[in-house]
Amino acid sequence: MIINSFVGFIRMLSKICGFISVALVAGSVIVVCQMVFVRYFMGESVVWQTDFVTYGLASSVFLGAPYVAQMKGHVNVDLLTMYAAPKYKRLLGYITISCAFIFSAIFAYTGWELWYEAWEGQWTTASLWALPLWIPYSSLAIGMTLLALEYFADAICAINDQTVPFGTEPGGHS
Amino acid sequence: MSPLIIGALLCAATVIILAAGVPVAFSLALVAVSFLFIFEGPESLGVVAETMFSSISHFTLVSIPMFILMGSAIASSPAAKDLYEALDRWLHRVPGGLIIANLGACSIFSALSGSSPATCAAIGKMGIPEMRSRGYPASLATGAIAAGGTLGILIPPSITMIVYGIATETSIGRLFLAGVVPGFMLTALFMTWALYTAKKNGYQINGSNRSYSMAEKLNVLPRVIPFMLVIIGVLYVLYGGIATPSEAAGVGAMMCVMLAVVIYKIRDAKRLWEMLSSSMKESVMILMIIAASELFSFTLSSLYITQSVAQWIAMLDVNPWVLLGIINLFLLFCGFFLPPVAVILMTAPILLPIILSAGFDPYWFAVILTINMEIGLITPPVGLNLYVINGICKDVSLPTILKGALPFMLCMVLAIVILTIFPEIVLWLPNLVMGPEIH
Amino acid sequence: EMLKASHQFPGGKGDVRDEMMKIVSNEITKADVDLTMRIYPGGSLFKAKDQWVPLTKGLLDMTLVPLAYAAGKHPQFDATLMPGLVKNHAHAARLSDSPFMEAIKEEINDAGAIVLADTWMAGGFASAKKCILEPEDAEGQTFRAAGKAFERMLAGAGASIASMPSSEIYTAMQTGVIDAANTSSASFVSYRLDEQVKCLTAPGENALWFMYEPLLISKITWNKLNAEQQAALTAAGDKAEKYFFEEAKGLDQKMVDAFTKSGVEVVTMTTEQADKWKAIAQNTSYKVFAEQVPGGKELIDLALSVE
Ligand code: NA
Ligand code: NA
Repeated sequence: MIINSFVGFIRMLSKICGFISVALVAGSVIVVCQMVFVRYFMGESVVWQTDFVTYGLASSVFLGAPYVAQMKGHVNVDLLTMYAAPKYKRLLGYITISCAFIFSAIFAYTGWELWYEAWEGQWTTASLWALPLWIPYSSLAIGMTLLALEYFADAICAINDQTVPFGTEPGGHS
Repeated sequence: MSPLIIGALLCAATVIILAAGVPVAFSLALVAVSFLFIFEGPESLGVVAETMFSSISHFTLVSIPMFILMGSAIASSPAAKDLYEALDRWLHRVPGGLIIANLGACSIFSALSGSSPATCAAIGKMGIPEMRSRGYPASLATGAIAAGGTLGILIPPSITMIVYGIATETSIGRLFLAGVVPGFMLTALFMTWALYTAKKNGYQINGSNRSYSMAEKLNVLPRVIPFMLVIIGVLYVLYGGIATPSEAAGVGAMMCVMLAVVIYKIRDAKRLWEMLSSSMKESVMILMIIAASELFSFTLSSLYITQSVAQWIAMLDVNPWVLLGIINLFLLFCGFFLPPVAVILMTAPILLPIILSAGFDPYWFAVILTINMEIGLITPPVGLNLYVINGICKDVSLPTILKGALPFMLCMVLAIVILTIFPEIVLWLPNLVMGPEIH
Repeated sequence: EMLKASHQFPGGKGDVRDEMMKIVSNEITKADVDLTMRIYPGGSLFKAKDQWVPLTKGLLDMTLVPLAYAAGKHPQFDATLMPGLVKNHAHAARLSDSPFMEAIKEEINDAGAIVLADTWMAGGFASAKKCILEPEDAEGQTFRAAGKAFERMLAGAGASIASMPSSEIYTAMQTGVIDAANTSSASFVSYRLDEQVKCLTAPGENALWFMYEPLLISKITWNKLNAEQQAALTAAGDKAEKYFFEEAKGLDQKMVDAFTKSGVEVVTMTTEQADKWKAIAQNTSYKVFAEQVPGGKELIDLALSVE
């Protein structure tokens, strides 16, 4: 019961980050157009737009990653997994979940480290806008932490037989 | 341990972990991090987070999410249906007409974008479902777009040509011009294959064998106007000096969303969310792979693997044509594992001097290199275009896409052979426009 | 012991900074102190702006990099890419031994790096519209400038500023997204901007644009080396620096030759014209720097006091 609500909570956090990621992409489209407009038609200087779009889109990638993982949107090579017998599929599933977990755990750790350095050293971008770098770096730290939790939740679901890794059998995420 | 042995181990580890079904992005990053950890010590992990973040915080990468959104907006509105209905009515007598039209669209989009995955995503999103619903087999439909998308780096503007130009101090303008004729030649080769295979297997019609009257053909045209306006609009924004290629992609995305909202009246929150979130999912997937492959390239570079092989080639004392053959094989092999820009950064400074001293032209070599990189974009284990298509069409397996893409790869090999025999095809246009280059 | 050295400039093409790295590499090999160097040119290891942090952490041993790239981490470094502080190469050489550079080097040291060789790269302006001599010439032109301080000064002169990665300058110039650009002589040549512009303002005797690009070694690496190895590196650095100062003027001439050959008009600023620009910089770049950066005012004053 508690486990199920933990899993549900993680899934919900990923959805929220996914929503922020979509907003950053949509916002970047608008900002690119605004930038082109003020430069070409108004002859004004472009100060903050380039940084906003560059760091906004990079942030959207790391923040969106856990939601995309939840939707099984990170592409994998399905050569073995397609033809393997069910018991091997389960094994491959555990391998995948652990590799993905190790990856995200490493990057969550180094991501928080980087975030802390940027915060402590008051790092900014090199442009006139001088965006404090801890803001975009927090997307890496938060996104990768959530990604690790997402795979942790996947592991719980797989152990409890709530999902079948690489399976064609029914049963998705709770 | 010698760099070559480490390189072999790294390739093997990559293939194994990918085959186990671990998502591509995580596999590449994990292999990269493990090799850094083992061969350069634990403290080397202090740079991985910043390397990964900075690899995708580049303004030139903006075109990828923007083009994906463009494709997604068109695909989710009836614009795509209208366009393909029109193409179908006009081209239904031509065997493989729709494939040919899509390949043509790839080359038009290549003139709008400097990146191959972006081109591939924009066309694939609308083209593949339409082709499949009209009876083309999944392998041909996906393979054609995966290959057609690679034209993005050959037909100008091109990110890889810019990187090559700066790394080798060659003229970017001349490089762009050098890519034009080979780009059209390659498009024509692709189309020829599509025509041949469609005729042989009889894929040409939308199920029924009906023919359309002239009136029916003309009636459908006004419905294509909005789409054409977008294409003309983006071309104008780009070549009329209003925006750079990366920015033009953003303007194009905005135009396509406006098209969907204003003309096709897609206004309910649910459909808009679907459009935005599906494009977010695809761009996150592909940009994660790009970030991870940059980290992977960093590891290869840091361990001096690619450079060692290139230096070994540089020391070979063989005749120019054997040398060229070896370089081509080497680039092809690099392309299996590395994205184009990484290959250029690591190998161009070492390979270009030997290419020049063997008497080859640097602009001609840039085109040969680019076509090699195009092949790499559709070969496993690291083929960005393959993964873009795989992300768009979840139900089509990777081997199926590969099967469809293989003949197109052979077209590229053929193109390399043709251009090697007739280098004038590459050099004619730049020499015509800018005068002969004095070395 | 093998040292990893990285830089962003074209490799194997005779670029002066690539050559400096090679000189250091050859010298320390010759010194036979159990020290070798592996050079990663063209940003093939770390990208241009990503070298500073690995260097200070000892994960990259050596680099040759525009110091201003690290200004997001150490705002004082922006003083090394400030309009009008350096007039010409002879002035740059005097500046290198001044209290101003002592202060900058102290900051570099505190951050975790040691300077092995000084280089000052000159640069200029190029425009597809009209020659940039007086501040009024910049009015209404869309500029891609190198460096924040230049962006502030040009905006102060009435130009509109576009920011874009350096890889897009050529295309932007070709299609007309930007009218003018401002960067180093070496970059003007390697980007082949002579194909796209009408007029070049070369550095001459009154250059506004100078940028400090030191050859740096990580302090962590340095402290691991023995006295012999350190001495070999210092000697090699001196030799590379001497080589640079011999080549420096040639770099500007190479640009002038390339642009003249392409039929571009080449001009230089007079002292009066440069002073007009400095008056604008006084109220824009210098002012903001003095206000926002701790010790900023002192740094500017120190630099301006070098004759
Ligand atoms: Na292109
Ligand atoms: Na590949």
